[in-house]
Amino acid sequence: MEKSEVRSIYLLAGFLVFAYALPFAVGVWTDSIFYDRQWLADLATVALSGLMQGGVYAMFAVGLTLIFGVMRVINVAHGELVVLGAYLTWVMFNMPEWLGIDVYVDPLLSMVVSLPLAFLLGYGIQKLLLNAVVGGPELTPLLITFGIGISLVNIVEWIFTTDYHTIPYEPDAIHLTASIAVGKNKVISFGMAFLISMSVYIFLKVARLGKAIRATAQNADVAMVCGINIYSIYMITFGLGAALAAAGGTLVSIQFGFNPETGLQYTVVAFAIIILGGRGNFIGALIGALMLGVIENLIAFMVPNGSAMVEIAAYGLMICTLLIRPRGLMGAKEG
Amino acid sequence: MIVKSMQVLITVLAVAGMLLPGTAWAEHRGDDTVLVGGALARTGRYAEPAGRFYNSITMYVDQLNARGGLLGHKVVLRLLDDKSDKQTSIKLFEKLITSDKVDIILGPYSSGITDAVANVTERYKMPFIAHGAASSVIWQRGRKYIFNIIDIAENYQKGAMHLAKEIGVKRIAIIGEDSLFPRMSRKGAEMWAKRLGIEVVLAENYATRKQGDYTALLQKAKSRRAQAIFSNSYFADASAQIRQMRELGINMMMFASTVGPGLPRFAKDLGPTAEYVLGFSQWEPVMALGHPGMGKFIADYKARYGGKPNYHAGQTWAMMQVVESTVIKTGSFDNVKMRDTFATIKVRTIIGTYKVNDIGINNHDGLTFQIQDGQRVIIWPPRLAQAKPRLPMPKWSDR
Amino acid sequence: MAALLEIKNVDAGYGNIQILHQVSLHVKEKEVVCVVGPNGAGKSTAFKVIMGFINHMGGDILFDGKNIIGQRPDQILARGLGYVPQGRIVFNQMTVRENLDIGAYVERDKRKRLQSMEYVFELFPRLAERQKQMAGTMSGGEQQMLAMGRALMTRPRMMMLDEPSLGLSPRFVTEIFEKIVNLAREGLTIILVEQNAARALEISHRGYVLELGRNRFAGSGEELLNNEEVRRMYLGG
Repeated sequence: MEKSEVRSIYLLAGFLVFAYALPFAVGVWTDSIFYDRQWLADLATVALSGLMQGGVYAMFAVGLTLIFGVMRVINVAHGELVVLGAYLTWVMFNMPEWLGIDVYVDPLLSMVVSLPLAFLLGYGIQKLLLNAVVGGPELTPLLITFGIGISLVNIVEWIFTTDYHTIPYEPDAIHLTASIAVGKNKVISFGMAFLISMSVYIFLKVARLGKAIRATAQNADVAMVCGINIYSIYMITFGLGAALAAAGGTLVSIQFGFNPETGLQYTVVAFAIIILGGRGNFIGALIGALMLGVIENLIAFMVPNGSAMVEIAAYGLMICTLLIRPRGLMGAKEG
Repeated sequence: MIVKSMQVLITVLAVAGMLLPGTAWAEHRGDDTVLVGGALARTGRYAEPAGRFYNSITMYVDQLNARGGLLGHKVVLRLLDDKSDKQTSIKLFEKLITSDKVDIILGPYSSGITDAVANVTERYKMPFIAHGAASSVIWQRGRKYIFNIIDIAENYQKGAMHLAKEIGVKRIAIIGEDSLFPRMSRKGAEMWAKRLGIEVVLAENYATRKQGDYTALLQKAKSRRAQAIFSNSYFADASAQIRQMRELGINMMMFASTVGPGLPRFAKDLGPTAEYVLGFSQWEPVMALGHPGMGKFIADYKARYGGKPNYHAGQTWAMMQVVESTVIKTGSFDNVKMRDTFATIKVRTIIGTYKVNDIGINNHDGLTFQIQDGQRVIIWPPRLAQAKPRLPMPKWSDR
Repeated sequence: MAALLEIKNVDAGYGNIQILHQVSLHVKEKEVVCVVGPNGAGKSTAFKVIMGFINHMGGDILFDGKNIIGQRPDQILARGLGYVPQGRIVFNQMTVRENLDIGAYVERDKRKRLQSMEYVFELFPRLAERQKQMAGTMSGGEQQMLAMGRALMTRPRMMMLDEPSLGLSPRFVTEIFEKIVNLAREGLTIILVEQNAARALEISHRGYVLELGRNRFAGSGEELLNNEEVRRMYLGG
């Protein structure tokens, strides 16, 4: 590693330590920290919940980073795919009631249907709209995904209206100690996120197709001369990215309210995460997601009016990472 | 390449709203017609309550035309989509007034957008009733062409605060979205708390687009030993907050939201978690309120849209009633004359009497309801209460 | 004997910029042919148009008597034409073994892949020693061997090598050229582009000299080595 590279990783690490220390410093300064057991338990609850939130973020981010890593396409419609996944889950959850059947469809079980559907949608989008423009100017695919995003919002609005929905899934608390609690649905979501992202990671590491995807990400031209049909890899990758987004959507639907317009904020969050973690790097996206989830909560908990500032966390991390080390924590160096 | 494309991305996201002009869905004006126009959120985060505005307006205009229109003219409606966006709304109102030359203006949804649009309407002297705005600050800027019809934001938590006092709450947290209307209802909540001798241990806003995790904020309220949470919130935030209180096992004596619990989906989607939540309503489809015309409106609305109207639908209907009465009394569509009528007329609407004071604020009394067994039940003011309040909220572990 | 690879009067370039003008060359079965010329002569471009990476603007490209214009690289590979791109490009974040395995992506039969891998390991024992090492951490010469080994994984009939000795230490240059000679002896048809023209011509049956995207000279390796003008212009003496 070059010297400047070594320096920049230390700088970034230093910056992150500073960023995490900042809410504590502000907390001390503004007297919002109480030095008792109860407060420490609250802090633990808050940090834990941030970690859980990070798991949901990870679902958005790994798909985005995968698509970017393989095709250098910034998928602006990613958040909309998340929302689509949320709606698919919601529809399947409510379907029995609409049909007058007395069956309980577990929202997580709906992924058996929603993930393949999202995969096919992503596959089709890549085949019909993006394959022709990948490798050209980067603006073109970006604008196409932007158009796809707007279309998705409008289609979903047209079908489901703009009403907010949510699924009341496992609403109770898990008490770790008398005073540290975490929502059951959050733990389940985190577990699902972990399971899904690890499966994808192992698939990329071990499976032959996964290796072909990684090879294409590293050098598409050489992948081609190895006999890999990169256009087919592109379609599979976008399909996989869309399925991961939809899985994130399922996790959103069982925790939060959503409507067709909710997608944009998830695109922004996912984007900030993959910049922090390193564009195109899978593990980087996971780490970035957890880091963002936790720091958002620390800010909200200790900084006065911190809940109004959580967006600064995402944007601030993103901008500072770009300034200090554009390739992020684990991203490959830009050629 | 990468840096460049990110700049592009940011630019693209920034201009996203502008790229999407509002769409018109009303036909053009014939010769002998009256053009009634406005912009409402058909998409965006206000689309859900504003959709009920849209329902009431279209139903009212259809009925109006069926009984002969306004002063013998057929009414043509032109409602544009402001995408829940202030800038878009300003442009659309400018266009409606200057190029479409509408005869009557209908207000948008949300205090923030109304406040911005009022600058345009004021300039062109176009009077309107701000049926979608409850922030009194809008009327404290010396404007002459805007009139209030619903209870002001400062009073949204008035009933809940009185009830909190009654059950012995001493310390509260006031939280809410960081936008104009929730800020105004926060200001009102702080004022009522002070007046009733309740200590505010936490008053904090959260980012407008944050619809996810409120754990930190709720824990903060808990760690400061708040006994009740007053949340100036809409659907997504209010529902996430009450869910997360349950997930975290945070027990409060009361959870009072403003707009969210009034939406029909709130109790339905949240199920038992929504029980005991307090909300504010300008009006409820409850015959006991005794306003003239309520029964017919409720029945017509139900027949046409399949569900009972909520207060958003009601207040918009009332606004249309005042507009019709004003035009009839004025006898013309002259905007300045209509303004004078709006300022002086007294109309009995389905939500109560419209009669504004010298700065244009109507003295409307809102209602505080509680979700009891999945239904919104009026619990304050006492003279209109349908049932006794079920307070304090039981502990989550005891439910 | 018919040529295994033949390109006739080919025009090609990047976008609208034409680089090759009426370039023709052919390679017969079991021949070693090298293409030399100064920088910017269009040597690598000629390889890229054969593989379909850049715009083909005119002329014929035949492999084994069949037109391959407009085919994807993976389809061309499946016909038996391997390609080792310039700059010893390997998949840095994969092990040596993974790199080789990916090289035979078109081969579905795992046993055949293992056989090919054995063959490559015999040819390059150094790769066998470093099977589990990340390709990005190897030396330049080893990466070049890996890139060649990867191209051999499909057991192609013919291999195109773009600047195999570029940037390598003298020791590795010698080793790489030895390997090329070995492969040729085993019957592999080879075409290579080289800066190191003298050395390449020594091991080649025939050679072509390109200049500014046009054919300049052609002849046997020996002829070109002895040609005064070629010596003066490209061989530094």
